[in-house]
Amino acid sequence: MSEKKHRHRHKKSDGKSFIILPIIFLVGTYLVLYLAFAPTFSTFVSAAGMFFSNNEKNYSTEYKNIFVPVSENTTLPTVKIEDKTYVEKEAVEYPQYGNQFGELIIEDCGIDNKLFFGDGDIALRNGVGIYNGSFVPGYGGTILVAGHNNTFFNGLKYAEAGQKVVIRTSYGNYEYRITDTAVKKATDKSAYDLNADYENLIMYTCYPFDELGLTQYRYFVYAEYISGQQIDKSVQEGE
Amino acid sequence: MAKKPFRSKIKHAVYIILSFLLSVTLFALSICTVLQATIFNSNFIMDNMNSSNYFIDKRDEITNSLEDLGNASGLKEVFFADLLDEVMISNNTREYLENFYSGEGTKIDTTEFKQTFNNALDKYIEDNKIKNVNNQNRDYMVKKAAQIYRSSLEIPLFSRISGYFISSKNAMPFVIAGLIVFGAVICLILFFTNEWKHRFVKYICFATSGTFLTVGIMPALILATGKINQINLASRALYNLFVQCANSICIALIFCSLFFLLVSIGLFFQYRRMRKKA
Repeated sequence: MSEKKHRHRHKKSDGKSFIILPIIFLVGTYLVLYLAFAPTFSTFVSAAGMFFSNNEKNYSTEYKNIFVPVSENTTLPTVKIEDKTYVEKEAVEYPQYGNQFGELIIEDCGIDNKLFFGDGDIALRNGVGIYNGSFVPGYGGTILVAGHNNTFFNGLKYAEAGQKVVIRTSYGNYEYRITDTAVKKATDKSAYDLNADYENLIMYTCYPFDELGLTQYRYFVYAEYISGQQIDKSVQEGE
Repeated sequence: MAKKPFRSKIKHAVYIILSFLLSVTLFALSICTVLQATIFNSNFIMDNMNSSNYFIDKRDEITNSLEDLGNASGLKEVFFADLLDEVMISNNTREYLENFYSGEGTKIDTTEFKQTFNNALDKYIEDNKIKNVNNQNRDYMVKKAAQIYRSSLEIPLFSRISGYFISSKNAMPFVIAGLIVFGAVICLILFFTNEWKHRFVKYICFATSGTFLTVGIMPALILATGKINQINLASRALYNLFVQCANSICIALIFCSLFFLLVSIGLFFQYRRMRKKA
């Protein structure tokens, strides 16, 4: 009876080991691998974080349009800072890269284009784009706008000092006056100042116009700020 | 209750450790064999390129990029409509991969592309009677177009990992042979040191069922979480190729794992049959 009992117990423990041991081997193997690669483990994890995101990449060439024209009579909430009136920053929907958020119009040049934030391929295929290292209208800095010379900025060849440029956005309409034009090398960094502490508009495209071939020159059109509601830029505690 | 003698316990522990080593060896062997048949095999990449419509997607992507160049250079979209064909892209890619796999560098020959582009450009100028052509700017545009073509066909990081890749590829047959010999030695030790052969079968069964879990768990997790689909690649063609290759590798590993499961089940029943006889 006792031998029978022992045999039964032995059989039971033998059966268990067919399940437990493979699981121990699994854990053991990955533990060995972890210990072997421990010094480089964080590098692999960081690299994986760089290569993978939380969502599938969107390859659509569609763009998001957040532009809703505002009429002249529309009043946005404002704040007063040192006797000056600014649009409340909460009332402004700041565009994300690739969004169409306005229009750029120069009537005298026959230009009436969609305005994008960012000057990537999709933006320049559909209109003109603000370099995302510059400012959007109303922020009191340099607005650097690019466009192709054979499509949306072909009309810049008619640009002359004194002409009016209008930028319409969802948070306000802005007016600028062309002050100057210049042809400069594409690599010439002195053609624009992105650190200017006053609002100004610079539009540029490839030069010469209507020529076949890729050029190394750019045609710059400079414009000064005339009107349009400035946006509150003050930084509060915790921001 | 009769207790096992101490020596027998030690012996059993040693056999378990040997089974574990065999399991790790079989795991490494599975990974190396799958890598040898997939990543280290240029035909695997080419086959996946063909089945994931890589060349058609690539042609569309390059055409889009060239159209952007055309917008900046005075060329209308119609110029690019039939400029590229999949055969040229396929030939250049095959040559690129063959060079990479044979360790001869990662250069892409753009001679044929430049020739095609220049011929199409001459015809376009003639057909549209364009007079305003500056040769220097034209050459610059052709150079830029060739650059776009080259960078579109290049596979990211290939040039950087080339050295490590070739060394690993060359070492792989030796690693596989080494693992086979090591595994065989463990099997022989288990076979000749066990008087009762059903015990030998039992330890091999532990090893193969351990390998079944170890090989299968990672690809199963990767496929279940869908993480592969979340890779950030700028090119859709490359994304499709990567996802297809990664899925193929995961499926190959799962097949390997299932093979070990079948072997384990077979060994388990063999063990029970032999034990009854013993």
